Amino acid sequence: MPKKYHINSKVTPLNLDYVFKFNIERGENCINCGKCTKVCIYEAHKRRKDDPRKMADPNTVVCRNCFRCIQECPRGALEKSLDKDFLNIGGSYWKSDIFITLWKQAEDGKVPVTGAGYRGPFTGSGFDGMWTDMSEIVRPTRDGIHGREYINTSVELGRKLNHLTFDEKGKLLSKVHDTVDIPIPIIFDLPPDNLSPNVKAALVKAAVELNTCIVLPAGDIASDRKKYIKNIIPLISHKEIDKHQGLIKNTRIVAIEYADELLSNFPAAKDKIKKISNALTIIRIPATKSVETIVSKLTQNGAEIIHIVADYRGREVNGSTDYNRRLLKDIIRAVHLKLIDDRIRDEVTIIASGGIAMAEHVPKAMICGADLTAVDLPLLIALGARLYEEPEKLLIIPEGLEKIPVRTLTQRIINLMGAWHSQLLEVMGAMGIREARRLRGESGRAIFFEEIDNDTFGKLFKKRETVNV
Amino acid sequence: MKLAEEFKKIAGDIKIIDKDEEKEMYSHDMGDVPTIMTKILFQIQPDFVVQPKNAEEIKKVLAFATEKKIPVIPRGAASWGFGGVIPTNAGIVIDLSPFRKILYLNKAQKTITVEAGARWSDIDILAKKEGLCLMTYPSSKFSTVAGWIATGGYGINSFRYGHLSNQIDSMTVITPSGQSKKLNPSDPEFNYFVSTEGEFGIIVEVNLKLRDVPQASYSHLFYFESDKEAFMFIEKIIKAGQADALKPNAIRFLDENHLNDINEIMHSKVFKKSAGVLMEFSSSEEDKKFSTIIGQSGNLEEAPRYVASYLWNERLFGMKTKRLGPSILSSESIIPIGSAAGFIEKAKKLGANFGVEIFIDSQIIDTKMALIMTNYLCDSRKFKYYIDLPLAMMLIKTAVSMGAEPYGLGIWNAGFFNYLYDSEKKQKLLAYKAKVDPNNIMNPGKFFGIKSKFFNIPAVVFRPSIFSFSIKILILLSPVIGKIAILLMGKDKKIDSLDFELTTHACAKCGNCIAVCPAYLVTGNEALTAKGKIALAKKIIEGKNVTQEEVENVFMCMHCKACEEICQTNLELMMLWDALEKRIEGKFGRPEDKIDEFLKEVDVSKDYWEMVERNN
Repeated sequence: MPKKYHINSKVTPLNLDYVFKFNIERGENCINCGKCTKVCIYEAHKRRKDDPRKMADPNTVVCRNCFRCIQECPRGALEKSLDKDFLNIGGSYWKSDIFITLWKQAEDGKVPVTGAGYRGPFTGSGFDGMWTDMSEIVRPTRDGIHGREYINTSVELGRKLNHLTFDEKGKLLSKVHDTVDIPIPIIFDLPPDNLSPNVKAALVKAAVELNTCIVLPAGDIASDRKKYIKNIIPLISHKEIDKHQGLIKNTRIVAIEYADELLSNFPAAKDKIKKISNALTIIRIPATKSVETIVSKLTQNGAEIIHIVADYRGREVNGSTDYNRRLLKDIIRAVHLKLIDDRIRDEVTIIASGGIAMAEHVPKAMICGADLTAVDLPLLIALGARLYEEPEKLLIIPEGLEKIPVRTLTQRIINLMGAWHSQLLEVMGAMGIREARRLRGESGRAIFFEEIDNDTFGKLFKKRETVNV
Repeated sequence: MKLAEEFKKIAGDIKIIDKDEEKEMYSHDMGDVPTIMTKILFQIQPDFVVQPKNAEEIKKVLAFATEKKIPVIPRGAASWGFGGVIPTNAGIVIDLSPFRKILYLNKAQKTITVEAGARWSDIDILAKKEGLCLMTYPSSKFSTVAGWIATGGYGINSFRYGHLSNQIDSMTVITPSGQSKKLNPSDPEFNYFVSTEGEFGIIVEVNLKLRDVPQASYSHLFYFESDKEAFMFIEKIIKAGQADALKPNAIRFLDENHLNDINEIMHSKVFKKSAGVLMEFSSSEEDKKFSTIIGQSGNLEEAPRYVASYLWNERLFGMKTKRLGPSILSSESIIPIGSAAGFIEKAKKLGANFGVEIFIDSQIIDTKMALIMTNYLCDSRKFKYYIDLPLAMMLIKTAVSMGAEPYGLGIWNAGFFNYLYDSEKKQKLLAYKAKVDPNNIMNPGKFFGIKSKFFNIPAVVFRPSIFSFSIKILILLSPVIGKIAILLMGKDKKIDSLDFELTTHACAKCGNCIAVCPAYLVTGNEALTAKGKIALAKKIIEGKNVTQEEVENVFMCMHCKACEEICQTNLELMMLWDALEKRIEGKFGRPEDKIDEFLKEVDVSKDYWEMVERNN
């Protein structure tokens, strides 16, 4: 049994301009009785340090929305509202709650609770319309995700053979391909290029410490990062293979941008790389309408790893603005099923990215058919970044971030991944799956809301709708 | 000092207050009589103060006082202004205000058993949870039960439910000899303990009758051209009501000056500047009946409902207008309704002679009599105040000469004793006094007659015959004395806004704040309350010496704002505390450790958390 993979989280607060979910306001009629200090288990309410007879302003950052203080205040002096800035943040995909969750995860690496019951709907679009199987959650022998039971979250990148062939003497004829093992089904994807050096450094360092990889543009790999080259995936154009020989020589994986001509000449490009080193090749391909056909063709042409990139809201990229674009969940399922139909699913590793915003998106993407995922924006949100969808995508890096030590930033990214890892273990444990690679394509172990909705009520309502029309 | 030390030896765990600065609180009451005056006449500083927790402890104190032959002065909330709780010759003050538990509510019989110091407001809140409430209660609802039994008894709802003594099921008193007696109204001794100002013993436990909570409150306010018309209307309504078996809970008369002062405080014209009569009913049937009666009388000017309700709901804050003063002087008497208007006219004329404006507040207490409060605003910081003071006595003299009785004697009205009790009653009272209190230790030097320092020579003034005569002379001379006084010192003008100094003077010392103060609840120390802190602020402003220990009291405060909310005169207390704390902090520093200790003490107090939840 391999050594247990563990992520070392450490409480790392960052005093940048956070947005709080709640505004707790202490009314003029507060009688300083101190009841709220007694009932709040998160210590949102404290007496003032300079004058302990009076109550301090509530510390909203730690509020987990349990409403006890509101209910127990003998004067009804506390009032709670959603913060306006909080409501403005994000958009229809990146819901404001996601930010609070990610910030909290990055701070202490724990799985945050969200207070007094969830009152919203139990379904939604995209990944929200997927429910994972939790049938093993009460299995009596379970002693917790960090207990004796070993749940392996590692995944293999690279081509796997359909079958092995041997000669009469029993000698292996098939050439077993090289693979790269990473301990979590997550790699870091291309960060935006306007980041300050300390942030870039932190991303690389976190990838190294977590023993995963980060995709970086080849031109952006400074010489001082070369010592981390094993954890860096340089992104190059297939025309520039020769130019980046130095990088390719040392790295384990290379990513090349998809171009239509690769459909025919990918074997040549691959050979060129293989001549330089044993590095695996990722083809990075945008999630267009016909992505599954392209993926199938590339695989038949010998592609080892294909990285499908949806837009930042997990939608298909086709240049149009309409809302009928497929979501990542459906794109992956289409690709996965296409490859199965073509009987070549195991010959390629599929990486999915775009719109991976929360921990549960990782297992869900895998259930839909991805081998692993690549994350981008959450890594920056962990450092306090904010994102706005409207009127157009806008990423705001907090002021003063460039002055924060690399160590702090690295730890926050590690914390975030630690929290995600814990949640992955939780989901897998509850599903009774001990190997992350076995999650792939296990769509039978999930419930898709649209499907059961259709199965249950479709007959009734579809008919009526057609009648109405 | 020596007495206190001696008592401490036998006191067990009876709480004793004997530090000079703490005792000072116990040397005056709500009345604004200058300390210089009381100090000349009397030995107002008690030897020590005790805060007993039970009847046994009270007996111990009485035994000690009997042995030493020193005065015992029972004290409640000290919200009566005639000197009933002021020591005249030192002695022991028994502070019963922390002796305030509500013991038992009998829902079936509609009675409630309480300790002497229980607050009317607390009883009402608790009883209301069981669907019951008080019948007659005082306008200072934060005063103590025993205090009001000993001094008053007429208040809100008197018209319907009569004198408080009708609502006492039984009460337990302790006589100076330490004998405990449970008396009910049929006992011949019962009346010796009602309105007798602690002359015969100490009331320790009372069983009060309650009534069902009424379905609603219907109040009416009528305006009249003159006071005379208003009282004629009152007499008419009483007669009509007798015929139709209709009784309002309360009938209250307010004159134009009073209504106008309320307007001035609110900076708006809510009330018409004319005489007003306020009535309250508690069921829609009564209200309908009343409307029919009113409909027949025609030509009445009624204020809008909300105005009447406002006035009714403000009934517990009768001294609200004090902040225009900042001092207020009052006299109270019970006069036949027929003579009320005539008396008011005379009173106002007398006031005008002294350049003050008399305003009237009157409760009609039964079908024949009205309790009339004649009040006037003045300024205790000015020399003219010494001219204004005797006016209160002249007003009572005017009333009694028109057939009224003084409402309470204390020190300042003791000279009117003969108008309250005829010689037969007086003999009876004296005989009973000799029987139960042969050593004359119970609240001596007042009520029956004033005893002062200097071989009792200054007290001669208060001898009924001399007192009555000299006041009469003063009234006769008032046009002259008053005019000279006005000429030299000007008229008393109303004050519009209060600075900190004025705030300390505008405090009515009514003790409302004591009833709601959590710091007082936990520590039993009156110096921590708003009333106590204002007294301290006054001292500091006047430049008197204050001790470290004394000023530290200011910081023992939860800043709960309860005092500000309940304040009669709407003082901006929170601002005053901030300023006071800052000033003291600059000079004496901030007692951080003591504050922490205080907070801990509050935090572990069960009583405190009960209070917090009760006000929910």
